Amino acid sequence: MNSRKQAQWHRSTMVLLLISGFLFLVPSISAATPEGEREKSAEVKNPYAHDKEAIEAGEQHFQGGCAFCHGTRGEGGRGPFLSESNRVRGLSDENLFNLLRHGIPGTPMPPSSLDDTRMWQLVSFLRSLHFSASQEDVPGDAGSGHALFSRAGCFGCHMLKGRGGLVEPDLSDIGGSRSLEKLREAVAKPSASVVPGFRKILVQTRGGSQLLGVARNHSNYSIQMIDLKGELHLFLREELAKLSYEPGSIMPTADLSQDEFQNLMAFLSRQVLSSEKGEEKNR
Amino acid sequence: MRTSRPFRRGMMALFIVLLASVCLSGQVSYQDLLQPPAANWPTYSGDLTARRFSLLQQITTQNVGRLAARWVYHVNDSKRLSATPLVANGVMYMTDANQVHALDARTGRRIWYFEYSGSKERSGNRGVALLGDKVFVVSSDAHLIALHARTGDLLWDQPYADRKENPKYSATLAPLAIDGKVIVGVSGGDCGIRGYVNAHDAETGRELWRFYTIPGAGEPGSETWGGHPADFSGGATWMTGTYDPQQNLLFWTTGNPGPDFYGGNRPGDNLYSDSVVALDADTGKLRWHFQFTPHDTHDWDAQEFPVLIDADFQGKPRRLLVQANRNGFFYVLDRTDGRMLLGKAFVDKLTWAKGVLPDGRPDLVPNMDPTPEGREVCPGVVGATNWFSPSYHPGSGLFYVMSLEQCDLYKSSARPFNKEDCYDGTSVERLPTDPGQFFLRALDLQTGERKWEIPLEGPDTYLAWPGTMATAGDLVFFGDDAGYLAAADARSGKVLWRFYTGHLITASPMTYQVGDTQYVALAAGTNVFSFALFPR
Repeated sequence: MNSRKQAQWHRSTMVLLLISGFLFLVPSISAATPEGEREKSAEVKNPYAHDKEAIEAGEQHFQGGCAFCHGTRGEGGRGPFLSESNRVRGLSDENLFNLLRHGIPGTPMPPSSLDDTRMWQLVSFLRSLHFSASQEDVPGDAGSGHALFSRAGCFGCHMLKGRGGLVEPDLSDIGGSRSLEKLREAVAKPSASVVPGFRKILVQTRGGSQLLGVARNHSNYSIQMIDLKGELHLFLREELAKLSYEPGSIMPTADLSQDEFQNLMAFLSRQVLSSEKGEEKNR
Repeated sequence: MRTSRPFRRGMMALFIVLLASVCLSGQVSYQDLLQPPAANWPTYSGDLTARRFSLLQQITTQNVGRLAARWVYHVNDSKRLSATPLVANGVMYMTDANQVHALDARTGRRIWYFEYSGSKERSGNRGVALLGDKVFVVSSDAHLIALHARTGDLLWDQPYADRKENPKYSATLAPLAIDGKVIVGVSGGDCGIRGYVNAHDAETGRELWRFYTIPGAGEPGSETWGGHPADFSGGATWMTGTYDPQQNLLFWTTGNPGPDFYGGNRPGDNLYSDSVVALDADTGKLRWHFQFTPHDTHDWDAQEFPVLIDADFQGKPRRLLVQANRNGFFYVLDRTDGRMLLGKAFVDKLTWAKGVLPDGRPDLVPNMDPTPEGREVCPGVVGATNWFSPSYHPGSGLFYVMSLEQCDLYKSSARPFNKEDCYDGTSVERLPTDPGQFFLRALDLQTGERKWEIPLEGPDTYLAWPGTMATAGDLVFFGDDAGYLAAADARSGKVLWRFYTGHLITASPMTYQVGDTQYVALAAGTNVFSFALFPR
C-alpha cells in the first residue's frame, strides 16, 4: 500500500466510522416514535398509488423517457417488456422508485433526473400496467370455464397446478401473471405472439424420425425441445437432418361462443399461486 | 568486498529477470499504435484503422478445434460488459462503468483496480486507450481520466462536458489515443444534447479543441435544421473513431438527430447527424463529411465503425473508408475527399430506400416516416447492424459484419423539448410475427456482394450485440445471440469451433500473445474469458 492509498484508506475508515456513528443514532430517533408509526416508516409508500391523475401524468413521463426502449405500454422494444414482468411486479414501491432513480448498473437502463413527485407518478403508471387478470372483476362462470377447459383438451398441453401436459406454458399462475388483455389475446389469437421458449419447431433426425414440438431453447449448435407427447429431446445440430422453425403457435384457435369465451376467461383469470406475491402485498 | 563467481552469475540472472519484468509492463509508444506489434492489442479495434485484423497466426483453421478456456475473470457488480479488453506487453486492461481492471493477461489475475467514485450514474463502458505509461478511460459523467499503466494511480481527471448546464451528457466510449492527444466523444443523443468530439493533451488532460456535430445558429450546415435549436439536436459521438496519420485526419461517426422518430420540427438534412466527419487532428476543423441518412426518422445512428482500408478499388489503389451502416447499406468511400464509390444493401429486409444514388443520398421510398399509429419499416430500430465491431481480412478481401434482418413498428408524436425528460419521438414496437434473425455475413469489399453467410438461431435478437474479429490464421471469431463465441474459416464461413459462455454477448472478441502463446479473449455478461490452444 503506498502512502496515497494509505491516506485514502484512512479517509475511507473515517467516513465509515462517521456513517456507522450516524446509524447508531437512528434507532434512538426511531425509538422515540410510537411502535405503529415506526412500522409504517420502514417502507416508503407511493403517495400517488392508484391515483388516476398521477397515472396519466406518469404515462406522459413514461412516453418521454421510457417508451423509447420499453414500448409505449411497456411491451418491450429494444429494452425488456415491463407490462407483465414478474421482476417489476415483485418490487416494492420504494425499490421501484430507487431502481428508476439510479438506473441499473451495467445495462442501458439509465438513472432518471425526474423530481420525486414525477417519479412517484411514473411508479403509479408502471403499477397500472401490472394489473393482472386476477385483480380484475372478470364476469362469467368459472366453473363452466373449468369444464370447457377439460372438455376442449387444454390439459393435453397445459399444466395446471400439477395436472396436465408439458408442451405449452404452465397456467398455474396465469391469472396472476398476465393482464386480462393478454389473456384474451392468447386464447382468441394464439399465434399473434408466441411466449419466449415456446417457439414451434419441426425436426427430422438422421434416423429419419420427425418431431413437432416447441423449442425451449435453441442455438446454432444445440436444440432443447419438448415434442407433442411432452418428451424432452436434447439434440446437437449434427444429429439432425432437418430443422425448421414454424410460424405461429402450437396452440390451435378455438371456435368458442361468446359465453364460452367469457367463462374460460373467468376460469383462467382466477388461476393464481400464493397470495404472498409482491403484487398482492402492493394492492 | 569480493564476491564469488556463482554469486555474480546469480545477480546477473536476477538483473535480467528484473529487466524482463520491467519490459513486460513497459510503455506503448505512438509508433506502437501506428503499427502494433502483433502480440499486442493496444486500441479498442486493435489498431487505428478499426479493421480488427490481427497478424497472429498460431491459431489456424487447422488447429482451432483445440482452443480451450485458459482463465475466466469475474467483474463484480457487472451485468453486461461491453468493453473490448486491450493488451500491451502482457497486461490486459478491462473496463466496466467507472472502473478499470488491469490483469495479468496470461493468468487473468488482477494487478490493480481503479474505481471512479465521482459519478452515481453507471452507463456501460467500452474500454480504455493506451499511450506512453498512461491508461485513459471515460467515466459515466463524461470525465476523461488518466491512470498510471503500472499501478492504476490517478494522474489527472478532466471533466469534458458541462453537466451543470445539461446533466444529460454522459460517456461510454473507449477513447482514441494518437500522437500526444486523446480524442473522446459524448453520449446522450436521445436525451437532448449537442454532440461533439473533443481532443485533449495526453500529458495534462487540457482541452485542445472541440468540434460540434450540430452547427450553431448561422454556421454552415445550420440551414439544414429549419431553426431547430442546436443545443438539444443530438448527433452524439458515442463510439471511437479512426485515424489516418498520412492525412492527419480523424474519422468520427455521429448519432441520430433528435427527436429520433419525429422529424416535423427539424425540416432539412440535419447536418452532421448520421454522418462520418473527417477532422484535422491538430485543429478539429472539418475537412469533409458524408451523411448516410439525411433527415433520419428511424434512429439509425451512423455509429458503426468507419473502417480504414488501403486497397485497389475500381482499378486503382485507393485510401478507402468502409462502413456497414445501421440503415442497411454498405458504403465504400474515398477517404481523401468523402466521395462515395459504392453503396449497396447488405440486408434483404430493407424497405425505406430503393438504393443509394450516385451522390450518396438514399433513393427514398415515399411515406416511410413513423406515424402516431405506427408504420412498419425495415430495418428495425436496432438497425441492420450496430456498434458491435465488423472486421476486414486483407487476405480474403472480405468484410465481416453481424447483420440483423428485422422490421419494427415505428411510432411517432410531436413532443416539445422538456429539460426533465429525454427527447425522443415516442417508440418502436416489436412485430410479434417478426422475431428477427442475425446473420454473420462476409461481404466482398469490391462489390458489396455476400460471399457467404452464417444464419444465427439464438433467441436474443433484441438484446445481443455480438461483434467480430479476423486473424491471419484465416479465422473470423464472432459472438452470437445464443451466448457462443465461435470461429469460422474466414474464406468459406465454415464454423470450426465454438464455446458457450453462458452469457448474453454484448461485446467483440480480440486476440493477443504472451510469451509463445496466442490467446483469444471476449467479455461476455459479467466475465472476461481467455482462450488458447490446448497443449498436445
